[in-house]
Amino acid sequence: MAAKRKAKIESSGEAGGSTERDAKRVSCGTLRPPLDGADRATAALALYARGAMQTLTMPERPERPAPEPEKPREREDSEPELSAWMRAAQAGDADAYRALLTAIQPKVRAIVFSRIKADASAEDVVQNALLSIHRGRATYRSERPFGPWMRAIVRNAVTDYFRDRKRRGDREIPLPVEDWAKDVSGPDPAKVPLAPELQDALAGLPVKQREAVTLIQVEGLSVAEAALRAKVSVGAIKVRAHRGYRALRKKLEGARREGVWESSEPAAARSDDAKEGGS
Amino acid sequence: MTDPANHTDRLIDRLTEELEPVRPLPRLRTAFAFVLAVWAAILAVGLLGSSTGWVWSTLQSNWIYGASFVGLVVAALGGTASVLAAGVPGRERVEQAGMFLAFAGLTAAAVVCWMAIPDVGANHSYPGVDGMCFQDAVWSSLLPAGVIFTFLVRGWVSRPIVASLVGLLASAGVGALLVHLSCSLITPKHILVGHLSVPFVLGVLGMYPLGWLIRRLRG
Repeated sequence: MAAKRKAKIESSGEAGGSTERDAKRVSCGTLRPPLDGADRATAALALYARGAMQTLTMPERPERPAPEPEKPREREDSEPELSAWMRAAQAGDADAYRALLTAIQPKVRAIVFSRIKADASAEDVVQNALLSIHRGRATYRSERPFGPWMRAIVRNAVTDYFRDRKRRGDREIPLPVEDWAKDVSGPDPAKVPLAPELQDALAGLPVKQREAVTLIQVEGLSVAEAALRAKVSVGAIKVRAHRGYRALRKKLEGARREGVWESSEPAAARSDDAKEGGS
Repeated sequence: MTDPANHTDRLIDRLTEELEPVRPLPRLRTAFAFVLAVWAAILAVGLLGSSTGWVWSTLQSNWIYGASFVGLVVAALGGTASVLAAGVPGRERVEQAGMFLAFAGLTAAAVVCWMAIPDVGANHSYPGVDGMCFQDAVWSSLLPAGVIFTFLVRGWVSRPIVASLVGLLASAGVGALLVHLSCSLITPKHILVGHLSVPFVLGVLGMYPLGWLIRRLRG
């Protein structure tokens, strides 16, 4: 077997297999023609001499400047600081707490905005996350890093948002923001006097629903702020406000059907008109 | 229209104004050691009157009894670790590992008993005894559940319903363990119905009400 293989190799050498291949390569211009022993030695010598010349004529490299000590990354730098602020906040230091919340706000916003594209909703989630950090501040231990703790809370806030959206998705139709944004631009809603009918309808609501509707719609607070003011969770204030809106709509529709309130104009203006028309 | 970012700044102002000092939660290890001490005390008090001399020998001789014992212990320990970690943001790994242990321990023990029923030929029904053990286990679980939920309410639980389920598995695991160590009927069917089913049944029935309660108490 081995003898056969040897014979085959020899025969292929005799047939000039390698020289044919080399000739093809030369014709393609990809390789130099094969060199015999003497040529190889000359070529090697020439290469060596060229290398030596290059070494002799090569200009000296300018000395590299000494590497500057690396700046610590921002996260690593701020981690102990954030931790210290949180520790102080747990002890009741309001200044440290303000510094902490201000410092983490961009981080929280970055996490939220990387996952939620809608601006208004994302800002709501940022507020919910800050509120969760506030309410869960007792769970932070100073020997643990601050970053993972904060990120876990923000992630949960984002997850809650998606869960909530999925739950409400079947029941609500989202309004295009651009369309109504122009209509609501105007005076501060908190300063516009309410129509008496609306005031009556509001007064007829249960206390918790009235509080939620007033905080969000009349005072113009965000959901998170309203939740903080009412000392309940964000979910709870949303539920109360939703129930309040439904009850208000029922009351106002009832009033309209009975002819108490026929248009959206304030009753005072209508009564003035009626007086003028009567006189 | 007001800028939502202004709302965030206003929220920070308000949070700062409302800041009150808080006491940080104990370290996870400390809390775990404390809860384990409570479990040990409950078991010691529960087994005080009963004769437990045969327990060790039965554990060695009856592998079904031993497997269910191990399953309940693993469920109690894993569930406790998971629940304590669930109250602390950033400890999700411990939470998930504990949860896995609790479920795996209980399920493995239940499967062992289930598979042993036809072999041992213990298809006799003892509804009265099964019910009695079940009831005892439920009552014994109340105190451990109270301890666990004190921690859960103090912590910041992201998924209250899941945490309630695991908490109930752990506390019912302790209750069932107490009954398991004091019960002399060790047929596979009885162990399955009267002891091992307690954590599953309590967990499924109690997770929604307790999850709701945790949400309410947390505010």
